[in-house]
Amino acid sequence: MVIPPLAVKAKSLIRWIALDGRWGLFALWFLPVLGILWTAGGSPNWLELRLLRVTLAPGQALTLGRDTLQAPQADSEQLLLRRDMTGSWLLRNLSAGSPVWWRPAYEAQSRPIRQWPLTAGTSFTVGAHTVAVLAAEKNRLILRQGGWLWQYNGWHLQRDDRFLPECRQGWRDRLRGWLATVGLSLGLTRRPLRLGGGVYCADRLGLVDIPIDTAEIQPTGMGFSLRLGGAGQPDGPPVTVATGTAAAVPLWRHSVPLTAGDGLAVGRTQYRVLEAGSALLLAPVARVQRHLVGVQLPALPPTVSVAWGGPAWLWPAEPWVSMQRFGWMVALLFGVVGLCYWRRLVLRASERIAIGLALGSLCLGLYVQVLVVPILWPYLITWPALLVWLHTVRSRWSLGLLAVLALLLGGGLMALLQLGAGVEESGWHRYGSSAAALAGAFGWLSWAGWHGRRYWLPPPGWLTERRFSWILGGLCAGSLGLLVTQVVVGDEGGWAGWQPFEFSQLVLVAAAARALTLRGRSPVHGWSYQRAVPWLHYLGPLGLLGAVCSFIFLFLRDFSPFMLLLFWGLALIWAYLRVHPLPLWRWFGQIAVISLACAFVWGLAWLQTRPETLSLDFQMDRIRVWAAPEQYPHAGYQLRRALEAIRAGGWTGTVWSEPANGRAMAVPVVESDFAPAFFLNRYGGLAGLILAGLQAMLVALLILIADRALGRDWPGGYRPGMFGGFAYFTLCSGAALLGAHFLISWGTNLGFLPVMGQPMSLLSAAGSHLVLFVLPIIALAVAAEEKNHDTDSH
Amino acid sequence: MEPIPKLNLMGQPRIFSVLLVTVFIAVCVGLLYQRLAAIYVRPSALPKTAVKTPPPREDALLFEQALAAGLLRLQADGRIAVAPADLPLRRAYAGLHPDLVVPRAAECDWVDGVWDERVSRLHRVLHFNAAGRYVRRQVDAYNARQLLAAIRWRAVPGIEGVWQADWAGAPLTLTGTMPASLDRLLAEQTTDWQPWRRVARWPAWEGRSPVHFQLVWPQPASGGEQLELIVVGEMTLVSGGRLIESESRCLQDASCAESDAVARWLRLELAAGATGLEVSVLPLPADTAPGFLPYGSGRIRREGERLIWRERQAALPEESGWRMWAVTSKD
Repeated sequence: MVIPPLAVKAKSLIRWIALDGRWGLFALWFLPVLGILWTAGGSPNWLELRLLRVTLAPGQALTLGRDTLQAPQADSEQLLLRRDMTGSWLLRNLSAGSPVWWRPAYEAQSRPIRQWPLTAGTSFTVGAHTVAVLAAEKNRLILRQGGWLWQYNGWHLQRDDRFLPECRQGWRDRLRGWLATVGLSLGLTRRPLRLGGGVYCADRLGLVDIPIDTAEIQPTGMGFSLRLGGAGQPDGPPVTVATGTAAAVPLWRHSVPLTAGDGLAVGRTQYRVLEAGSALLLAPVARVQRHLVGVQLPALPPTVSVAWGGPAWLWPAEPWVSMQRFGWMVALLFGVVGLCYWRRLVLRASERIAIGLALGSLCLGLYVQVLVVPILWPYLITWPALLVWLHTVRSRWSLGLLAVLALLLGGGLMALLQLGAGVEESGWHRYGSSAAALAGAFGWLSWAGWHGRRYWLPPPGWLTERRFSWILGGLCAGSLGLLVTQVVVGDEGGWAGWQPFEFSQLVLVAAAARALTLRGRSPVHGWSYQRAVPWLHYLGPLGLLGAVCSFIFLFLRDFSPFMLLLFWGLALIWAYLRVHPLPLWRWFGQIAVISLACAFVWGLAWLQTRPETLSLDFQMDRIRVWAAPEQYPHAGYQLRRALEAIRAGGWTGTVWSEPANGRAMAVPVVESDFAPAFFLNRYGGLAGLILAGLQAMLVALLILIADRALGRDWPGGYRPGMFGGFAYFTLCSGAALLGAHFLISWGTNLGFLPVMGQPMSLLSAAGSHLVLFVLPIIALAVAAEEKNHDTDSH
Repeated sequence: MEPIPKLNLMGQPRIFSVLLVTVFIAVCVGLLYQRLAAIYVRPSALPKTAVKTPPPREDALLFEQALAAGLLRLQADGRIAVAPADLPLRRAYAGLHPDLVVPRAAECDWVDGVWDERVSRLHRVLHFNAAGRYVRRQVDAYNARQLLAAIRWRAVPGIEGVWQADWAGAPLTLTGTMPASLDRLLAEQTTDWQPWRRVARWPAWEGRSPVHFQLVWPQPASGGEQLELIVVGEMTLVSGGRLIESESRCLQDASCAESDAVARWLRLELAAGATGLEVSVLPLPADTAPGFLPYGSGRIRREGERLIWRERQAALPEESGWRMWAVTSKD
């Protein structure tokens, strides 16, 4: 075996990285790398807390506040730490507004410090009301209060053996109840029993003169625990536990013991207790306050000492702990690098699949531990995925699309990295890191799927019309199931950190594309009742659209998804009409759609001058704020802050002169809906124009690729699943929805649209939107274009 | 009908596509440029309203409408009661399940008022919107000014402690800010005294029960120590010390008739072994001394029997009437 000299190896590596001599393309890919390195290098010199040591003699106590704990959400007097005469460490939360969560060592769940486990034979008081606990077991709690016997099974309250009705008679509760009766409770048969308020119902035990939610009884793994409720105030009705005993104490003053291995969360700052002997050692795990080097650090009590360190950009702060946590990731990465070196980048398909799967799972691991991984790891693992994709694709259109994607995604990640690097709390890095990790996971796993397509793609002829219908039907059912799960289990913000609505959009796009493709294949065009028209096939997407609209109207109660769907609907009709075989339909149809769009724009402009003419209750507040923002200082707070930040940025931005983010951080949800305001503040209006140009180019490229896919349609054997009309309509829909996201997001930030609540694609921190909608659409465009390229080659 | 087997994209020359894409990108960038330029050149962040006759601010409107709808009510003690958050449920249950409605005690009868779609929407805004939160915070601030109870003491060697207070069992938050009028009145006698401790926030309960101020010190008193206190409010009870001397204090004079008194000066003698002191005081309502409790930066003020929302924070003479005391290490 001839071993090539090092120079030859280096040359081949450089040639590979430079995309086989396409230096321009390589420069486009490398530009965001430079941006990210520049952002990391130019970030302010921060000092972060690494270790907090408290030394107390038995019997002594110490108050810890924001400055000592380095927790941004903590109060000035947050915790009372004391040692009892036996030397044990006890912790009490002093703050009225900032909660403290405690996770005992060897337990998985955290709990508030102000929580008291209910046991049979004890009692507690809320205001002047004494509640006696007669039994407290898993799913069975019996209380005596006000002369009645109350039983609670974790879901439903009974008064003297009578089940009480649901508190709210809304459709959501009826749906939950129905699911529970048919055995599909989705783990929802437990909810807290709220104490206080003026009624007795399924999950509320009313108490005279006690505001609702003063306290609540939470079902736990072992039984039930008493907690303070959302309306609990230190100067509100007192909640006292263990009444009638020597251990009676107000719940506000409840203490917990600390031992080594415990976890703590003060506000959003997390700690781990390393030692609880003669001294208490707390190591911050995530989201601590930062200080600029050279600025005077806060004064500490003499019994407290701290160790400081810089942010963990590349190397973990605690190598040994990190090796336990990230060891498998490092091993996987070394394995991949070793394999590439050994094979001199000439890899077999199976090796590529293995590498894709390994790095994809590594990215998912990084996503799960995003709060504690070194900041740059997700970016460094993700960005090469785009390089290998640029190597993989052969069509110039795909290369162009991926180049625009590289600039947009790279710019977005750079902005999110700046968001984390320029702020006085380490936790803001999670937005950029999780977006990078998810993009990386998608990139690497799809790369593995691309090289493994011969293994998983069905043989030619398998994907018949009927099977394709079944697959789409299954996806529709799945997306509806996810929406129902969000309604039942989650809230308006999503479910388990994800937004099923994004997946529903994708499925809706595919279902509508399928229906329109069938319509295109129908021998009958124009309006007709003939049997040849596949009307039944249109019901699927219409049904899904109806369900999605109901979900938006009844559950989200948000106007912006309607705007998205309206834009999408218009664009889809236009996409259908512009390729209609009958010229009359084609020309008049397009003119009608364009006129409708113009009328819509004119209607919006008219509505802005006369908001009172629209008598709809739904979203009227938003429209009024949009028409006269200075009259709505509270509802229009976000817009005012965003516009102030944009004005402060000017055309050139503030990032060149101010490393810290400054006033841009005062904009609410700056990481998501108002990421464009942050971008304009930091990088300026000129960068915003470039961003808008790239976004327009992405939309245009998707439509052009859709046209090309349609042009290659029906070569003889119809493949409904992948190409032709289906790809055309899917890509047009995807481009329309992406364009709608861009438009709505700019409109939200600049105040020219009466909607709010949509992230800007490829800029905001919106993981669900990125991996469940944007990247799949781009992947389909690449797949369609690569298929075109194959057809050309042959 | 002749079947037409496929969708038909009319063949367009490539230059046409390139031209369209260029125009599309140029239009997008141009529109953004126009918007940004308008934002950068205008004198304020928010654009000038396009509405010809702007309505009142949302918070002022909400306050007025909530008052008119009976969701905010002026109580006999001068404070404003806010309709409970679960009022819609109470109303629904009053009709459907009257046996499941918690019996009313001292609070207002909220269920009897007018209730329609408009009031229901107002209630929702009052409790679950940003403007509603702001209005309720202003109501809290207004209510905090309607009652006054405070205490101040002159420390003696060996007796060190921190005042705490509770009201009907609920612990109260204390602050060091006091009206300047009162502070001026008592300043000559209290130059070397500890800072004021005034009840900062009053729970939203009805009734006028006494506030219990408690001072606890770690070492038992040796006996015979004399403490001086000034208590603002109507004093009802002292425990933990023997009252030796007591004088009334009014706003106009250092010494005055009992009926006009707003404060009381006390001299107490501690018993041997005492480790604490409790003083019970009935809080003063605002109408005891008009102008005594300033409006500060609050939006709500009362004129006769009317409650008014101030649109702008006009400089009122009373606004300079609060003084922040430096809290010492003993406090």
